[in-house]
Amino acid sequence: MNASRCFAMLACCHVFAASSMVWAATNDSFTSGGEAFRAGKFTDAAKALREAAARQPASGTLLNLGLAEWRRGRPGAAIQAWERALWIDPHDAGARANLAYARQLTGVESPDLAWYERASTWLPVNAWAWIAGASLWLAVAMAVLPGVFRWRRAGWQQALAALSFAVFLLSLPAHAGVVTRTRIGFALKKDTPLRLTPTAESEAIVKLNAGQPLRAMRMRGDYIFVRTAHGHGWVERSQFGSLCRD
Amino acid sequence: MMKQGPVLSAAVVDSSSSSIGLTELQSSSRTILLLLSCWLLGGESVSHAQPNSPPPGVLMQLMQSQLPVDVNSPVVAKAEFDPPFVSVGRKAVYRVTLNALEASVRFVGHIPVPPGLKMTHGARGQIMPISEGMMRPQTALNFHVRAEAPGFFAVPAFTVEVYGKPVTVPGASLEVTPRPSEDEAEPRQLVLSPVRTNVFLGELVRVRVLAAGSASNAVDFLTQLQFNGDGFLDGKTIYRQQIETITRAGRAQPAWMIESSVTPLAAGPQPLTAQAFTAGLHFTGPVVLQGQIRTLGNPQRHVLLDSEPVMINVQPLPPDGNARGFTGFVGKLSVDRPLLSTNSLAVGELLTLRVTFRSEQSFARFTPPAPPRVAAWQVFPPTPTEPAASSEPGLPHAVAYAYTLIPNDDVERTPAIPFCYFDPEKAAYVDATIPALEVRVRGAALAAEERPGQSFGTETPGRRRLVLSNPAAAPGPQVTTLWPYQLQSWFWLAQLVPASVIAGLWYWDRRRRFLDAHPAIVRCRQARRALRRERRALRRAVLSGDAPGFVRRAVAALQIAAAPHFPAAPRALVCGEVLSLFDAREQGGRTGEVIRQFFARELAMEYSARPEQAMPLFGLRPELERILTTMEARL
Repeated sequence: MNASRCFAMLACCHVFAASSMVWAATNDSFTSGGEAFRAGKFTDAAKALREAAARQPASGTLLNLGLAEWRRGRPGAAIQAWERALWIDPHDAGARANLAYARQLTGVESPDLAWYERASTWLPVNAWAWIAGASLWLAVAMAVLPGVFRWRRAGWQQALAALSFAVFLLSLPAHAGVVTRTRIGFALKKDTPLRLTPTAESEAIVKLNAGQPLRAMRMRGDYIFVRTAHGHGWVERSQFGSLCRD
Repeated sequence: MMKQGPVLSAAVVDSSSSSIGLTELQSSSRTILLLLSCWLLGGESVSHAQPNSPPPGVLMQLMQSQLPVDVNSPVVAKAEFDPPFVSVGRKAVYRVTLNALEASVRFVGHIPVPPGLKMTHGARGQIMPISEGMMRPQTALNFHVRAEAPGFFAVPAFTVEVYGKPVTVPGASLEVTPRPSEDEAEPRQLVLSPVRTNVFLGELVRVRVLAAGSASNAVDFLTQLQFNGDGFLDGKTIYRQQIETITRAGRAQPAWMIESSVTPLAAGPQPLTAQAFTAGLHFTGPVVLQGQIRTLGNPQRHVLLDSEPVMINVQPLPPDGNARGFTGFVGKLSVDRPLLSTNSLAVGELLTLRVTFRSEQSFARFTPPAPPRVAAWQVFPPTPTEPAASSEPGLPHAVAYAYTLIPNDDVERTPAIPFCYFDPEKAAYVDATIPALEVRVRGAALAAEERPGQSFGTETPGRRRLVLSNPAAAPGPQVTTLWPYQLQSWFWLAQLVPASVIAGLWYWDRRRRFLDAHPAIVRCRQARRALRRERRALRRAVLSGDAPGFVRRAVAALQIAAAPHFPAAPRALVCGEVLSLFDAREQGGRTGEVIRQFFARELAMEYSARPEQAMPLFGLRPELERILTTMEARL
């Protein structure tokens, strides 16, 4: 008994220490990135903030990363970072303002979202998962537990079950929106060729602006078949900046 | 390319038979000739390509507007020696003339050259004079003749094939005197004099062609001048034509002079000849007349003249080495400072860079430098444009090209365009790279200059001003990964926890309700549990030698095992009730006896004044265990 208790305590300490180290490293990268940004060393700032975002994606880190990339003259990477910041925190006013600024300056449009995708932007993507899970099991519990525990049937229990189930049903379109939004990406470089076939020698249908929104349909080798406002075609995987996948 | 002399057949000197064999022309093409030809023709096509060809209807109209060509008149052949008499060793021209298209004339045999006469092929050409509303073709073939001995030489009549039909060429005679006479005439021929005979490959060579007047100082104009030679490209450009006075055989004589150019295409000694038809008083283009000129008013007579070959030594170009941007221009060249359409533009906007080249020679086959490939610029191939006004004297020829550039990124200078040419005077490549020019590119650069917090655009009522935000002071909301939870497997596995809890509760409730409806099951289960407990106590009593405890536990075990069948509290059961669970045979047998003994002993212990100390019932333990096992199985 004592041995298992000690093992559990050691495991907890290990997890806590590892989390603390990750948090400390992330915080260091965020701080150094901010200092480099203020010093005008945008390349260093972008590097540090990219490391911090890779360790622990955070809306503030991605906001600053976007600013650094913008100052480096890489609007595609900046737009991707700000979109990621909104992916984590859709109420981040800074990222939203920066996106509007960048898109007006560069002339690229926002991603074309369906109604359920637009609904999924009301809350952080993971909030929908928790809301759906909690509401579903709350509804089930409210339907099952009074009978199990032989509570007296009460109106509030049924109302709570109905409300929870309604919340669950209402969250389903947002769930679908989150899933389909994972296919969204952005052209990272200017004049990214949208090719007819997934080969380097293929004819370029059109050249995409940096930050142009794309929607991945399928992959083949080093190329991704994407849908854009200008049509369908293949782009190189290295030139496709996914919204949520590195 | 320039035409060769006799194309259909050529006269070859055969010293043994002194006859001319008619053989196919052997063209000795060399690799460098082909390459340079490709460059020259390609350059011409680049710089002077006409993108649109006339539609077929227009071509038909043009063809119909041309005068008809006379191919139906009877073909008449003439042959003559020019001059008809020469001294030994002097040259004469044996000239055959036919009123037919050159392509239709085919020699079917050898020209019967008399012994003692050496004949080599000369020029061959066609002219289309207009007469009586028709173009009447005239083909002439020149053969150069030298006599080895005095005498009277007659070339007999022979037959050629014209339009597929035999045509007889009449005979002609040449009188050869042993020594030159004062009235001996020179054959009419051209004098070819290049400005330079030691040139580089690809260098434009100015050539003067002179046609001396007749003995009576009458001058014939020339037409259809062409140069013959494997290693040369005919410039087809007449720089100057004039009548000038030359000194020939000790006396001044007027001569028709044409200045043109050729371009050597092959290295090494290259023979060059010229040929032209006399045109009487017909000429095209400006003509400079100097001094006293006498022209004949006779009907024009088209005589094919040619020249003696001139050997031009063509040196190959040295290896270009580090020379970047060499496009094949050989000569003297000057590049004006390039002009930009603007020096301030946004990313993605067009910028035009105009470059003017000047030279003393024609740019007919000039190839402009190729657009460079640089990361920050998109440079399109140049297009010809109007050259700027000349700023340098002595360089009359100019050509200009416009390069269209589009900046892709934040840049401050246009890309330099590598270019060089070969200067034959210096015998070296001269770097004439078009320099980079400073520009200001808005867009990415301008955006990069925007400080966070600065605004973009104008603020109008109802329209929010767009600003770049300040950097975040803290990382803010965090996630472990950008990939959404609902697409991660652990999320769905985590949903099993509440599902399992609720399912377990439901099952527990269902079981509980079942047991409530079936209390016998509960009693049996409780009895089994209590029986197992009592049997453990029995074993402990045996081990400890506790005889009273052993008896009490044994009776309690029997009561517990029997209780669910009645149902009643175990302690309320008596021996008879326990025995009633067995059939009559067992009740009368050993089983009943053992049970009765335990109950009797337990009663004796409970109510006797003198408790029994012996332990005879320990020996009944195996039978008791068997009975309890049997009763447990019935629960």
